[in-house]
Amino acid sequence: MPPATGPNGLRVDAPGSLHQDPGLQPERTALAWNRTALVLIITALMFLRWIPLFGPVASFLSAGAVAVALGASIGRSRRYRRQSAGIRSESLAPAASGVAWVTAAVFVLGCAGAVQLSLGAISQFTP
Amino acid sequence: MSTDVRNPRPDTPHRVRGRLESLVLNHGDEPDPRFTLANERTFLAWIRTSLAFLAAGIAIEAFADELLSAPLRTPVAGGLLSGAALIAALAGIRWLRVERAMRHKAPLPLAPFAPIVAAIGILGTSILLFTLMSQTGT
Repeated sequence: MPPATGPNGLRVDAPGSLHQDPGLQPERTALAWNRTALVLIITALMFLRWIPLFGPVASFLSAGAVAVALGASIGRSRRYRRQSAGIRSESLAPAASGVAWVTAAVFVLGCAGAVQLSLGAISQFTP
Repeated sequence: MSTDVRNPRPDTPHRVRGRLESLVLNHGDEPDPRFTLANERTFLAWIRTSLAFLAAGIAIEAFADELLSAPLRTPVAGGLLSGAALIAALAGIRWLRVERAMRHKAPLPLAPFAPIVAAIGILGTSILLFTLMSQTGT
């Protein structure tokens, strides 16, 4: 009996592999989440430099960025398995909640930073 | 083993959809999972662009103390931070629009904010370059 092959003609029963996608889509997506988490950590470290300027508020912004980075990292291996299964079965539900969370978090971080800047500028120019 | 008509691959169970997925993406047919993953990566690339603007805004306020005077520095930093928030929001909206277009096999929407992002970058760089040159000139 010939080995089972997927729609692309590759073996789907190779031991230890979660999928047989020659485009390595699940890997690339997992790495994209990794890079995003890393950039979030850099953003968090940058916010620490605001503590001398604006006080402890900056550390909350920093902690917020770390929390989003952690969230993106924690879901990664579960997401990788789910997406590999999606490639196997040719059916994958899009990660709407993950996208929504990250969008909201980065939007709020940007707005909070801008508000903090304006508050700092106002307090500087009022006697 | 009987064959489920609705599920032609009985070895893989029907996917479990989240509440949000079934709320915002309940029309059309599911696209190739590779396209869904590509859309997710494109979204993340836009989010990293937004985060780069965010980090740049924070850095200008924190480090450009001696380079830029406060009346110039704070608007530049504030513009970068607001731009970051805007790009993040547009990235999420675009992800949804692309996902919907793929489900309906419609043409993918354009990214009209790409030139705006380039414009913010050019504007910020010009301000910094101009300031640096005027300072070294004096």
